[in-house]
Amino acid sequence: MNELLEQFVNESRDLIEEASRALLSLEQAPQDREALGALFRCVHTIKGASGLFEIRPFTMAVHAGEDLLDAVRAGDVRFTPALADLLLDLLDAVADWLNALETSGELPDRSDATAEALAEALQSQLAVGHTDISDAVTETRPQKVEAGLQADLPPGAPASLLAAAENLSRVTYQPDRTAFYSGSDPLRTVLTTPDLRWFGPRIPDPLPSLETFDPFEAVLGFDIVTGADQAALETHFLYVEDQVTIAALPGAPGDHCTLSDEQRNAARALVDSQRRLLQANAATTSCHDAVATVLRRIAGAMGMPDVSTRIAAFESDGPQAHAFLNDLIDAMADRLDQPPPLETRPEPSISPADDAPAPELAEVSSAPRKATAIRVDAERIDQLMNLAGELIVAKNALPFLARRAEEISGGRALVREIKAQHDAINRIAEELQSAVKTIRMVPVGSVLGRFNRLVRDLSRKLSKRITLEIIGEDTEADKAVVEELADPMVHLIRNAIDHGLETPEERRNAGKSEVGLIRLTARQQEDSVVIEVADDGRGIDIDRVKAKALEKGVIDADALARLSDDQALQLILTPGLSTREEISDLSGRGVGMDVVASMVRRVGGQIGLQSTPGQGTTVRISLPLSMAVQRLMMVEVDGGLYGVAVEAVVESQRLPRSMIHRHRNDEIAQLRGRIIPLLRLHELFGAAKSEPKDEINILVVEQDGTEVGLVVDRFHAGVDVIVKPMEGILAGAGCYSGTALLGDGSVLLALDLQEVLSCRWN
Amino acid sequence: MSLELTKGRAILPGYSDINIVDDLLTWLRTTPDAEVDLTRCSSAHMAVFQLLLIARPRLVTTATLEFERSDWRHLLARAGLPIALEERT
Repeated sequence: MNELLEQFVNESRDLIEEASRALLSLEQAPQDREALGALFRCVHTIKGASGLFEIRPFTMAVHAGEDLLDAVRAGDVRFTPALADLLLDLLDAVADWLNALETSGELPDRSDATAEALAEALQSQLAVGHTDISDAVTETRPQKVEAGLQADLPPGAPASLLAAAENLSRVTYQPDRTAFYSGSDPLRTVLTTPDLRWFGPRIPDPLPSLETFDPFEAVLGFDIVTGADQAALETHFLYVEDQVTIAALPGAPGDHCTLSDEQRNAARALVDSQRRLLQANAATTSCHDAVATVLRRIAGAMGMPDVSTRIAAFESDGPQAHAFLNDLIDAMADRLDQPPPLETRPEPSISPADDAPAPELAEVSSAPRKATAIRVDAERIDQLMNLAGELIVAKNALPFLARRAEEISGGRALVREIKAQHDAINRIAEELQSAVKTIRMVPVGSVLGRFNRLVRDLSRKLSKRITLEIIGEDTEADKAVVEELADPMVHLIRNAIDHGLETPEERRNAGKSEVGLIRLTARQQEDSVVIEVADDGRGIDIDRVKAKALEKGVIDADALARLSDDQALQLILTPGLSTREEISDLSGRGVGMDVVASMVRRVGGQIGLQSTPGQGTTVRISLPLSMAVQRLMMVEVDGGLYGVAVEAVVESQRLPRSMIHRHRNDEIAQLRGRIIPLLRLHELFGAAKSEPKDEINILVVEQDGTEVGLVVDRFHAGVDVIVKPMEGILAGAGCYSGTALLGDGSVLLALDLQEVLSCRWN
Repeated sequence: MSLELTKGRAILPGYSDINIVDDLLTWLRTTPDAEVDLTRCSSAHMAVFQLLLIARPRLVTTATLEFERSDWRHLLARAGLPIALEERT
């Protein structure tokens, strides 16, 4: 299924659930404005989103529901149990349609008819509801009517429009409040209506005050009378079809219109309801007005000009008003009970009318849908993840316990038992953790897919032709890791396009295809997710990088001389180095690759570059699959325990002093042909000098492609911990990425290798 | 031609597009007894139209604003905005 449609289906299901809840609480407390607001928002959102797809019946039905709820909100229609039933029917139908959309991508065959029936039923509530509330009648008070057929003309339109017996339509156009933002001018749309006969504004009551008015919000609507046919009108209002209603105006006197049985029944019910209303509110003028309005509209819709004329002469405060209305109701009820005349004419409404028999709402299938996926609040998963992590840390206490048991005489059996229990708990805790991890796994594609637009826009802006290739979108990583990816990726892609790729002309001259390539690759490698941003552009000029590094004082000539080209390339990742002469508005001064590097490292990742002049550059980011629990290698320095991320550890070695050499002020070790600079953590931490030993312990770590040997006192086992960042006055302490609690209650300081190395060399 | 704002009178351009509403609104808010000259303005964006309906300034025209299918100005007259007829100069 189309990804957008899938999202629509899932979100709409949630909204339907929310709407059902709101609807049910509204039934309990009809005055609950909050529930009403929530219900309206849900229906409104579903309607809005449905407009993106070719599912007209769906949109039509939901739109009718929205209109009704809007009227309820405005206080024009009272919320009744019958109305709640109808809305629930609507929600059920929508749920069924969503199921169909999910399985077949289309609405079921009979959805047209179902939607129409629903929309009609909802609209009839709108009419009934209006008369229910006597406060609202002032708005629907009839205009001074000169001739019976004027009933359905917009207020203010001259009756002469209907003098000629021709087919006219009334269009009601209520632009979205945000219409101007989409560049449309509703007034222009109105003025260019085909065969425009008359138009007038629908002015909201009250009008916004000049002081608070937002001039970019469309507040007016329009009434239009036109002689154009339905097809022409639909074409004209195609882009705002959800904002217009088109209805035929009654023709010249003498015309009849036939009603379907359902419409006849609905009209009959309306007439009867007016009778009841009169009985209930016998004496009030406003009630008379309301009843007269409804009767006038029914007469207009049914083509009863004589009735309309009688109502036009009606005086709501006259002494005979009550009796007059009762007589009129009787007369109309009789007319409605008679069989329809044989003469036929198109339906008065030109909204789609199907010849098929009107469907029963009960036909909406209500087969239960099996829940295959549930959406869970990310916070709950985080909580579960934290708890699983705590469990892993807590089980670390068992080996300590075993060691203490060993000290007790005769504790051997106990030790064995504790160890066995530790193994079992360890296994379960790890399984639990990996199960929770998989819940949090999301495909990297959700981030990579966003860059299509970025590449498209940049290629336009820079007049470079670019193909974006995405490989391995299905690779999964922890949600938090994927989210952290987005920002550095934007920078990398911008850099690649702005600095990496050449202009089409340069590419042609270099014998390359004019179309540049940006390739995003994602793959899982052990416990990491590796993302590569590669371009086939000009590559990085290593000599310029070196020259710049010297010029900016990022590195001294000696150190630079020792670096291989590959290592020197990584200098781009250090702060303060930019090789591009001009500043582009796009990526600034080479948008600090150091910023990208620090973003990546902050989440425990690594970054490296490869580049071949003339062939392109590849930036490789490797991030931990999950950021919650880390595995650290423990080392001891001057009695204190420190943790180093296992991913950074290359090897641990015990070397005789003879293999340590001194080069100026630096110590280096030769290890299987490699020269590894040494860093004594003792010195770095300002610990007391230890006695020189014959052998020293070196933990070789790799950071951004460079190997360094950390000199430590002792190696300890690896441990799974949750590293918490330093807080308070320790927050600024460099060299440490955070602290972790060990099983025996002691605190482990996790080293921030990047910082440690920069502290040492700078 | 753009919007001209003088001490008590705003002269709308031939086509008053949405870009003028911000300035016009600020001017209308701060100008008592404002007059808006529609003499040149034959068409306008709905944003301008509704602003005039809400602010209800005195309109200055050279012709009576009567219904004409392709014109919008008569709507302002129908909405009861005060109108001052001026001789065409």
